Amino acid sequence: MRLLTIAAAVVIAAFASPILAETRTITDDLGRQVEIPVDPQAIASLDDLRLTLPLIELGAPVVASHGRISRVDSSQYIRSADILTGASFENSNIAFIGIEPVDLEALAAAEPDLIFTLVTSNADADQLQAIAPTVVFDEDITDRFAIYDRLAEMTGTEPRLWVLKDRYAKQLAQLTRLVDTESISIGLIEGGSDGAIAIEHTFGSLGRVVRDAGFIQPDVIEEIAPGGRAALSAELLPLLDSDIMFDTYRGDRAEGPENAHARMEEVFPGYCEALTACTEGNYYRIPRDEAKAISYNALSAMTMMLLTILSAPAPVGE
Amino acid sequence: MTATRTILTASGFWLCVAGVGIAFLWHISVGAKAIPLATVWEALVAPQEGVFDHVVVRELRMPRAIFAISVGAALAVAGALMQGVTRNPLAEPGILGLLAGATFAVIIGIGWFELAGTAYVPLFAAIGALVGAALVWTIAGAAPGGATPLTLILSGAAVSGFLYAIESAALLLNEDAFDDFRVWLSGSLAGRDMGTFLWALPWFAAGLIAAMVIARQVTALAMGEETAAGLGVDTVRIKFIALAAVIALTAAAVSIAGPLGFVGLVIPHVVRLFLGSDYRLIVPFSAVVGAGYVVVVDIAARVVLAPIEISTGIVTTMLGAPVFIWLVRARL
Repeated sequence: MRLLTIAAAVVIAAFASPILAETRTITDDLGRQVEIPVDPQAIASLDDLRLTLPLIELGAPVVASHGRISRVDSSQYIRSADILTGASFENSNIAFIGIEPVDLEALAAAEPDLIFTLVTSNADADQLQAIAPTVVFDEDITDRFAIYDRLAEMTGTEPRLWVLKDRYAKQLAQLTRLVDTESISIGLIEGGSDGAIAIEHTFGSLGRVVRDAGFIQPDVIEEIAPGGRAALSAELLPLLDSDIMFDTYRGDRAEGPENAHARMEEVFPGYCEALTACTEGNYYRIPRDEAKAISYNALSAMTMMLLTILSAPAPVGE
Repeated sequence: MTATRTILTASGFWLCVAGVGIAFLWHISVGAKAIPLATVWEALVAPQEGVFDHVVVRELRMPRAIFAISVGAALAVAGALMQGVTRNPLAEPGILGLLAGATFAVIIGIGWFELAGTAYVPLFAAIGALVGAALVWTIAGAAPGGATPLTLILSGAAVSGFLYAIESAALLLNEDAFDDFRVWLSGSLAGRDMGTFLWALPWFAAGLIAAMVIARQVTALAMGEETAAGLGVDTVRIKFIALAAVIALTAAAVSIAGPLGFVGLVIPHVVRLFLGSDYRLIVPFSAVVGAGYVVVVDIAARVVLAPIEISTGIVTTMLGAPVFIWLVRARL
């Protein structure tokens, strides 16, 4: 009987081990060859906004994430994930492993079998590698939505990604069918601070929709390298003037449109007068969490917002 | 003072004022947007509503130049007073813990009590500067040999380092809550708001007026307490007024620009090189030269690496540190 038990254990181990430990080798953005599990079961993310949120949307098994501490009530939260997916540290099995830099011991305690991080993170890739296979992304090399694609590919959640992409394509098609996007210019501002205006080549999901739909963007935005950002001097504010402009505020900090307005007033007193979009009532202040997120839910929200603002109303009486 | 020397000094003073005027015009003539000089002049003398370039000059560049003038004058005068009263050539708000104390208090005030743009910011900064100074003097005074220039510098470094560590911990513990301070903490005039300046203005004015009023007695104090007392100076009263003036000036400067290091060290020494040790001259000249210095430094901060702007505090520190080292070698 004892011999039979041992034999059964050997057989199980012989068949099970390759399955459990099945790995493949990928090259990350640092050029490192990393052996990652084919079917990761416990993923840790070191950036909430740009990695955890996509992973949650994809339905990947995230067990630990970098997060933030709320200015409002000091609670821990996953930026943008709460408002775009409903997921939080409280209602999920995701462990909070700290703000930047993350707590490596908390990370190790979560026992991840795969770690995703960004090159901008303060954690050392080799140290992380000692905890679990670590893939480092560099946003200067890989576009943020391309990182999303790679996350899906590495976590085996591509079928979910295809559904999300298909949905976005249909929403985009509807937008371009109903709005003459190529004749409308849109200027996007992340916000003003310290005498400058923060702009990006592609500002999150809103920037992605604007690009994908074919809207015109100001030259000063087009001149930024893909994936890049710039602090535009307030003196050059009119360069951003467009038919429609968007500015953002931090909803996660309980801010509202008045905060975005106050920041711009601080950067350029009377800024509205310098912008046709603003004087004509086409300057919108929207929550940054939705606009900036790298998320297909955010893409949906942004597409719908643009459609609502820009599609012509049906004439009265028809 | 002979009549000739008086005329020369007065001429020198007005030349310095003219220099500040030129630096001011230079400051408002350069920037990210190329604006013709004629338009800049028009914006000054005949501004028209709705003309964007006029708005840039009047609403962006002029306030910043005014902030630079105020902060430069305040820190230079604060440094001059400290050097005169303590007879310590290395005394200045940054080295003796006042800047660190004021900066720490402003972070607490804005970061935790959300006092941005209110009258409480200079008040918090003043309390912080006072606590910083008291700590430095207490620690230095407890050292063997008392509060010598060396012990003051060492305790100033210790207190500044300690407060900086707490600031860093606060920033790390709640990155989100404190990320608005990153630029301000490096000492910057970019994007400062007029509201805070207006709240700081009475502090600037009170500090500068007090400094002018006690300048004669500070000259006596700079010769030694016994000499000053022999000349009829109420040394305790003058020290108290000087401390209040230094705190008011430091608090006002920090409220606007954050910690701008070494301005209070460099300028009084430059002025003393030309004018000797009469604080009736050192104080007003320090105010004017300090104002011009920070205006020019701020121009450099804006244009040297254009279109990237570096913090004014980085430039003042880069320029001030060698002077500090030279003074340590020469005077300690």
